[in-house]
Amino acid sequence: MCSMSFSLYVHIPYCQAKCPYCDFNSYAASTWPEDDYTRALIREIERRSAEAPFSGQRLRTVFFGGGTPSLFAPDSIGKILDAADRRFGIESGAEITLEANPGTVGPAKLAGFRATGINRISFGAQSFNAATLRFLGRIHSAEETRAAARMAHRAGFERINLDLIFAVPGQTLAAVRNDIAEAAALEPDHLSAYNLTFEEGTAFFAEMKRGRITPAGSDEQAAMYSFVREEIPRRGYKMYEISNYARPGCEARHNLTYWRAQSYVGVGAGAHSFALGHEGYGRRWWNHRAPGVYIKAALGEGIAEAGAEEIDAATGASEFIFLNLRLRDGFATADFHARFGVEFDTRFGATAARLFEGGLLERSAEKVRLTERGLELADSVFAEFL
Amino acid sequence: MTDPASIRNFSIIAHIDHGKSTLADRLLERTGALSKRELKEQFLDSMDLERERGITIKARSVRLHYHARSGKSYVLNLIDTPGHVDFAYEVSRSLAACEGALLVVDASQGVEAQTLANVYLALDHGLEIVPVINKIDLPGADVERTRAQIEETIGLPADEAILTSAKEGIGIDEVLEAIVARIPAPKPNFGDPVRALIFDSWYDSYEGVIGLVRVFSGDLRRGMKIRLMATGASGEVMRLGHFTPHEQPADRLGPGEVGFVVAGIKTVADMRVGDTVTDAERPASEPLPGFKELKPMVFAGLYPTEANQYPALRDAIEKLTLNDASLICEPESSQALGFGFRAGFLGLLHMEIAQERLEREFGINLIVTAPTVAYRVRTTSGTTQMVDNPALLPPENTIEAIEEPFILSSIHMPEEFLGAVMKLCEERRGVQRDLKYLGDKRVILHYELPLAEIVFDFYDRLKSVSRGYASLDYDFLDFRAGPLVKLDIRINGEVVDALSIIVHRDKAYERGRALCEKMRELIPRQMFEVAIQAAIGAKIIARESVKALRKNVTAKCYGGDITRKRKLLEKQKEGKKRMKQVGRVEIPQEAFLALLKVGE
Repeated sequence: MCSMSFSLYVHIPYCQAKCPYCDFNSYAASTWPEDDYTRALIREIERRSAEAPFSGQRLRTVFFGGGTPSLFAPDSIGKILDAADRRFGIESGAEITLEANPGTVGPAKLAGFRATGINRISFGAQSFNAATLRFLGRIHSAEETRAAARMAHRAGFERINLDLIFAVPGQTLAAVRNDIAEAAALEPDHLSAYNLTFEEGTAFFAEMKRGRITPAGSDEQAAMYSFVREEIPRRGYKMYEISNYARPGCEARHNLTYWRAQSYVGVGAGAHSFALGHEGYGRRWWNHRAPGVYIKAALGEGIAEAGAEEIDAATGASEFIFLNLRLRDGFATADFHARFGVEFDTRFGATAARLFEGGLLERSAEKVRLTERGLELADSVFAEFL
Repeated sequence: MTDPASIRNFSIIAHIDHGKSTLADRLLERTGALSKRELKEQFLDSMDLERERGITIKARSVRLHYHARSGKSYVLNLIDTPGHVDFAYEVSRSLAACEGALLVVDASQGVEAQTLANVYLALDHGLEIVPVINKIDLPGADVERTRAQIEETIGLPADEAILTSAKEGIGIDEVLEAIVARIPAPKPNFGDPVRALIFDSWYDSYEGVIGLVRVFSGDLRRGMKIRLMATGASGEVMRLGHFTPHEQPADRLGPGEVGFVVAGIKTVADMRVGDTVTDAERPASEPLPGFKELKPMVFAGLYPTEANQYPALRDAIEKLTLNDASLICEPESSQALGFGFRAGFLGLLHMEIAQERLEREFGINLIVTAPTVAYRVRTTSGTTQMVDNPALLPPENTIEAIEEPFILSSIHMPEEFLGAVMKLCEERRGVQRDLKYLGDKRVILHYELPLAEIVFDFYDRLKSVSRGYASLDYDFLDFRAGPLVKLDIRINGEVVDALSIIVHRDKAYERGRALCEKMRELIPRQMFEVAIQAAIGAKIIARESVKALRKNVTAKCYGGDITRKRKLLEKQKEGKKRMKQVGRVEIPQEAFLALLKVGE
């Protein structure tokens, strides 16, 4: 491999409030140890940059995710980026994204972020319907989302993403269409539309178990997903992943790293990293989840690993497939061969044949991808490749 | 050796919870067989303990020494009986070893239906029955009503019933006195050659088979070369003795005595319950009556859910059959399920027990196919063959006739349930042979019935239409030709061999519809639509479909999620492993037993 570039993920775990559907590693807090946490991140970046496998490689994308990274001051974000650039080197034209909550940013802060080098901003809009936002436990209003997007444009962000959530109990197709229309009107270059899921450990999951929330039925969710897949592209955003849509050339390059099963380093509490090795082998590791534990470990050793997993070629091949198949264009069988040294058809021919025949997978110009129906049953298809 | 005149052999018949084990414990305690401490620590304890130790101690036979009020000493052998219909034969052999039985009835509950079958069996064997009315200390106790009930429902005089509270230790001496006074001593028979009845046997990995015997004539001695008259197996008596309940070795067992025998026999199939032990050098001319080679009545396929578990299943079955003479297993294979075994059982309960043991004791994930009886098939070429797997029925055009096993059932019940029971028998294609009154209010009904109609849920239905009061016993009669057809279940057009059944033509439609519906409930939605059809030959008689799963996709998948995401997918896949893949369809284990669940 000669393209020695990779991606950096920076996790900021703090939020003003925990959303009831969120199962990410995030913590509601009114104050947070911003300086210590920032120093811990910088220490970790320094340590990682000094060691294999990432020393000497440059960053093609950086992503600040959370939690709510926009709670941090631009100055803190700037210090982290400076460290990353100093230690790894950020390629020119790199995509540098920050996740933000509409209620947490004003013009000055956005301008501040832009000045640090952040060139893409992602807002958790979720919906433009007041009742839906309330149900989702969001602390912002639709108006705040509109204002945030306008301010971001004004602050010089050309690349803006808006996250939407659909299949909220009680939500109608008309309401979903309205959310999409409202979002598109703000002229982002990228839209994510996530089917609401009830993840174990969330407040919603508990409510569902107690029978106080009934998720939309499977048929209804499928219909809504299908509707979303027609409705967003009609507004000029092409679907390129199960839940992601972009104007041509505006795909989230950072997230493509994950879906193409390429290398990335994650710093911060609970962050995961993956280093691709040779012949399809790889290693994944993850940090301590609790911010306090993380800070202490990172400030001490510069390292906060809580666990790791060696990925053998067989597991790697499974992961390669279930990640790449999330992409609308799937993957080239030649790429599979290049990484694993075995033909896709040799390794998975019988499994794939059943899925081609059943209309869940399709093949064109040496690429394999999910069909429209395959998109709706993606997890069932993926499980076949384990 | 004990003088037969001072021996009393008896068992205790009681409904569960009516105080059988407490009474047994009191008898052990009063006769000094066990100290209070031992009783507390060992014999009144949990089920597990009883199961672990009970095999040799409580559940089978105990020898008690009793000094009667008359000043004479007696040996009392308490012989326990298992309590399931499938094991009626074992019960009958235990009772055959006794001269009498205590009938224990809870004074607050009265006579319960389940005890009746065993009471009748005991009466059939000519046993002297001593009624014991227990739990008289309870506030709800009604001794007079219980007495009246014993007289009415069983026809036993109950004026001399003994009143006890086993829990409080009341009436225990009276029970012991009654055993001595009312239960006859064994009839001595010294001169004849040895005849000893095996009424229980089990496999021990150190000693081989241990048999419990009741000696009827002659002396069974250590070192004696013995022969089992029915199986023809032979051995040399290595150890003899009694359980008191502690093991007490002895040099010989004389007429009327009860004890254990170890004779180097390797499997319980060679030392079967009901067989007669005799002296190999001076054999008896006739065995004791009543031996039956238990023939399996119900057959089912046993398959591992995963093919690589086949060797483990084979080993487990081998071990199980060492200790279960009535379990018969032959290797077979199925297109749908791969390699497995066809197993024969005494009944459904026996099947469930075997299944549970294989799963729990041996850790095997099993698929059990729908149970069936064995049919006799006459072909056009003049041959006859037995078919215990519907999938192996010869091609329709070569079949001259399919004959099914018929049994003669005896059903005891109070008169008031006669109508309901007769209706049930008629529904099950029964032919009435006779109806007799036993006293004023009790009826015994004989019906000829197809075995296939009774092995599955007949017993449950009988109990429910008679509020539990009817009892059932049956014997094989003959094979009779009938309009029987093979009903296939097709999944996405393919016949799943493991789901085929043989049914009466008149019931095929109903059964086919019910099966399709049940399969639709049991087969989860999957990636593709699943068509379920019931067919007789090429003719489809019922159909259902399981709609394809509409949506199964994780919306979000980012960096941190990947290991977790893979584990979730693995879990999903693991769930599928417990299902059997037939073509593109995953069929859960329960579906193979759907036949049984139809109508629930």
